[in-house]
Amino acid sequence: MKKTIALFFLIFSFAEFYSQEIQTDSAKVHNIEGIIVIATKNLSNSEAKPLSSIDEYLQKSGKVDMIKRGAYAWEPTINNMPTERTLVTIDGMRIFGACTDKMDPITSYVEVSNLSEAEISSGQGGSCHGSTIGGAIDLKRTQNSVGEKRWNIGVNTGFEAVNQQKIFGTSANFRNEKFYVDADFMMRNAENYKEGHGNEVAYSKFHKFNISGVTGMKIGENKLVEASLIYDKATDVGYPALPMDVSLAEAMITSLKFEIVPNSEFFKNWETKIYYNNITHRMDDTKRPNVPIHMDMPGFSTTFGYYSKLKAEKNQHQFLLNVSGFYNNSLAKMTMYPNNPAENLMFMLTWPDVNTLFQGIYLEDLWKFSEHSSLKILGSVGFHQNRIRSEFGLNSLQIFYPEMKAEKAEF
Amino acid sequence: MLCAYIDPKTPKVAVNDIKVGVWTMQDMMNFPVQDGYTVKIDPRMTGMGNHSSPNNVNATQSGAGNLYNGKLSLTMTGYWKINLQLADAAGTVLKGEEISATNEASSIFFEIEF
Repeated sequence: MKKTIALFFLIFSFAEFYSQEIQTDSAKVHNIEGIIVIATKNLSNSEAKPLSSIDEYLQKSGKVDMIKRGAYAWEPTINNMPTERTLVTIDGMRIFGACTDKMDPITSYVEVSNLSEAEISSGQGGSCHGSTIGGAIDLKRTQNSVGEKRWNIGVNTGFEAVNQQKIFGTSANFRNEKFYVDADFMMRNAENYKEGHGNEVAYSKFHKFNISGVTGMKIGENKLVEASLIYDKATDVGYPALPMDVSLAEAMITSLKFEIVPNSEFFKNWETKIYYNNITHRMDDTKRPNVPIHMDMPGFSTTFGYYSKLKAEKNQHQFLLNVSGFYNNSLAKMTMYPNNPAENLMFMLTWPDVNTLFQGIYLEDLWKFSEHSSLKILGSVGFHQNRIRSEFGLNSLQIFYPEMKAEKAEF
Repeated sequence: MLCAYIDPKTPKVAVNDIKVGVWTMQDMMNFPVQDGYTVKIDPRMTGMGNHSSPNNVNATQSGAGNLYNGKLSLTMTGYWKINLQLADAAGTVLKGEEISATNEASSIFFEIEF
């Protein structure tokens, strides 16, 4: 109580002091001489990576902000633009979250321990892997390569007092002249967060583990194949800012890469990858008291895709050609349980079994005039098609948009 | 006056064609079709904050002696209360009340559960 009074007096005297000096006008115009924007473009390996989470790591970039709904799975925004206007990829792979309410950003499926860097491009400069307005984040995993025979085994562990988060991870890398393998495991168990006064923030705990494996083999003088897998499973993820939690967020991300380093003056690298990923997401409000109506909202997202990147160099020019495409299927259901158990369940589709097909070509020319200045010219063409497979879903969307057709395609 | 629900017999999550009949009571034995009225429909989901749905069309007659046809949007499965207002040719509401913040239901309604 004493503190409050003191604070009140302080504000009061301050206001009075002001009123003698200048007339207080709420619509006063401030002239800003200039704004200096300091932003880091890339988050590289040299940047300290906290063991806490990938979200805190990304937050270090001036262009990335986080929408925090809980202790985990923050939604990154680039230039203040959210998920639907930005592009987040893992090693160039397109992945689509399976939550209709954006509770599972792609960044939540990669662990900080196996991340080497995050390439952040602002605006349309990030359209290498698909079209975007806001920008793009490409999360690059640690890249081992063939070389002198070496073993590398690591263990990392951490503890956060605020939410009793226990972090445990191990990694093992092996390589020789022909072959390499990386394996990484990370586990996090966090209880409810305790704020400064020791009060517990309900529904802020989470549990998750992540397994990542990459193995590559030299199949010729300058040819390499690489297979990779990420399995990520989070359970009981709390979202104190939302009226529901997540009981399961599960991702399986796989890819096969083929790389050629041509013996050519002009062509430097040719990399082709095919990938497949599958995400299951289940929201859960059964642990919350006082919800007006209980609902189950599971979501499923499956993506197949490929890209083929060709890098070339001539004088001061660095060229990049990327041909990429993907096919995605998204389905999300919502079942509501009426308070009167005699009534029928209320059911609808929130993603009506939508197929998305994308095919794009991207061309970039990075022209380096000097050590410090360069010009980037880029162009991309994309074809995008959506089709609703579920008649139930199409009918229900036509209630809101009577003119809507099942299929839509545009360049 | 008699107002009866005829179609849809199997309602869908879609814009349904709703068919309603309106008859007037002449005497104990004769109920001729009432012409020129409008059956205003307002579907509500009572189990979910009494929310409505968009793009409903009130039921009207295509010609004298016919049944009344309209459009009924049901956005999800479950229990729906179709609140009604019966208006005459001049637009005067004879029976039924508008749904508002204070009035949750009309005194005449159909019930659908699917």
